[in-house]
Amino acid sequence: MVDLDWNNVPKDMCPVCKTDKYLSPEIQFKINPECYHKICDACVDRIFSLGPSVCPYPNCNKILRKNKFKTQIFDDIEVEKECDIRRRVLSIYNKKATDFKNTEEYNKYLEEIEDIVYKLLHKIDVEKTEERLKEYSIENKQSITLNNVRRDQEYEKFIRLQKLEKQYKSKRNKLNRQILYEKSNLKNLEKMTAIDQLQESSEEKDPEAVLRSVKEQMKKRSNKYREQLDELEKKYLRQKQAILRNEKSPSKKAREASMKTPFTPFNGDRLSPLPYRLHYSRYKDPYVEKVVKNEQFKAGGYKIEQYYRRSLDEAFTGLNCFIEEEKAV
Amino acid sequence: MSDRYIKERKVGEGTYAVVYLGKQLSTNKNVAIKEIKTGGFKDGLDMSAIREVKYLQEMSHENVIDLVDVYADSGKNLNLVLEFLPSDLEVIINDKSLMIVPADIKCWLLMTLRGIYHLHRNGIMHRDLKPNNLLISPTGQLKLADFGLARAFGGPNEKFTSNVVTRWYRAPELLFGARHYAGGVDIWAAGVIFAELMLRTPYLPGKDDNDQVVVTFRALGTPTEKNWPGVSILPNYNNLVMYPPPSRQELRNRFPAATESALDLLCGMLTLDPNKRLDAGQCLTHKYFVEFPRPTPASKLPKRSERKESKD
Repeated sequence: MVDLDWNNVPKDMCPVCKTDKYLSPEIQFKINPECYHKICDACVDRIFSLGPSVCPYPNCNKILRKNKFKTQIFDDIEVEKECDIRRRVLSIYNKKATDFKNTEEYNKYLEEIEDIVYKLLHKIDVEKTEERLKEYSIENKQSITLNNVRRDQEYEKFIRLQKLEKQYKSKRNKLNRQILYEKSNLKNLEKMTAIDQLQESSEEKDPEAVLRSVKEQMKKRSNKYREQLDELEKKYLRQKQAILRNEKSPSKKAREASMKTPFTPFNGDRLSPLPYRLHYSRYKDPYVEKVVKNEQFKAGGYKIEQYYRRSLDEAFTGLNCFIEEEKAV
Repeated sequence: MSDRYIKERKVGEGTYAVVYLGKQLSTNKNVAIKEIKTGGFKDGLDMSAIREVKYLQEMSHENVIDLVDVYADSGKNLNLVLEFLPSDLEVIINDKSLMIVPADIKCWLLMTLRGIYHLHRNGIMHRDLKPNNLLISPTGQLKLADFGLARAFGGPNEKFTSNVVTRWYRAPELLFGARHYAGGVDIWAAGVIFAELMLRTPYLPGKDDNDQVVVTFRALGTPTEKNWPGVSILPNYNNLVMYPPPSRQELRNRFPAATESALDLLCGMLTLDPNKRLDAGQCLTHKYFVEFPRPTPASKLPKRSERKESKD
């Protein structure tokens, strides 16, 4: 058996377990952004499940973690690498054209980004460049988080717009289909109704007038759908404007409003102050005391206080209570 | 008297009462009319009817069924006019087509506990809490019903019967035959209902009274003098298999959807020693109710589309 050339692993084969796509078609490859060496899913599970471990490629020596493994998107590993680096740099260098005074400055900024990406990708002055990134991120900490939030919001807006458009299109198509269907039916229907009405109507009626009224009716019907279509479009434009103006959707608004109202566990109906004060400690009832000392009472969870409470409530709730007044309420 | 209400149709029959769907003529509102059978009892009225009238007329709360009126009709039958509540929690738990989210469970438990809190502060134990007795109004409000076993917190010279609460929801002190107990039995039942809502299947389904003891303690550990002082002198504390209390991880596995504070509350409500069990007020102020998600508003809770008669 020929030894595997680790620098040139066949495309559909895992160099660790030597499984290939031919024998196990369900094989999946993963890479780790530390070194971008491809390993099959099963090997990743096997090697890295118990914690970080060294990359199995000879002379790689990078320590890899399972949670950093991901599926390769681009066939060319260089492209994959560049995308990762670019994503990282852009999450720090995240200013927009509107943040600059003029185009020239913005271009300079973009140039700097390209410079950093290029250097990191081709391993030129890596340490120095990393330092630069770090410095920049510390200097601009506030604006970076702010811009990130803004970007997330834009993205959410975009998703909402897309959803709205999709809904609108499906509704519009449905209406259009209805109109087409009606059109083909309308001609037949027109004929039938005209014949029916001509048969039924008395002779002195003008056949021309009957025909005209039937035509009129049919027109009204087809117009109804057209009106609906117009209405739909108006509604769509209105909602789109609302999203662009950054208004919150009604459901979200309601949810936020409900979160603002504090939670009331007792629904505002907690025990009101008692009309009397309880002094269990001072209240001496030898009979009750003797009974309650019994373990049977304690073990069952019996609480003499609750009995006192109920008895006292029964004794006092009637006081200061005037039935006539209550009735008036 | 009966000219103020009409009975429209019979919707259920129990051992001591027949339940009709009726109408209050003055308001045209639906009501449930419970006609107590008087004939067959030589000692007069059945005890549960008396309990129901006695305690329900004291209660007026959003989460307790409303006793609208009581009247005797021409046949000298006693009729209890109750609020008409078309659904109950058991129906909802068993209807597998309904989706229940944690926020819904929170709302139902919240309403149950508010009802219990109201009973307990008025010195009344319900003693028969189970999903079947938690009725649901058309607006989604949950109401405690069936006060046939309710009683007031009694004096020390009164002995209560330990043969109360439907078996699956029976607290350990009742299983041991305690004759003196308190509101803790209701909290235990509510805790079992809480568990049932999360599992959507009964949590402690004992086949008979002995099996109930086994099932309960296998799930929650057998109580000892250490974690429940005095337990060994209770009448039925003998011949017990000693099960260890469940570890936190075992509970997590049993209730995969529960959050940590939900488990805290559940453990607090299902504490074996009734003296250490949370009371209704402590349950309501538990952090489970404050944490995200907020309880679903009652009107938005899942409910069955078709109407089901309230049974009794």
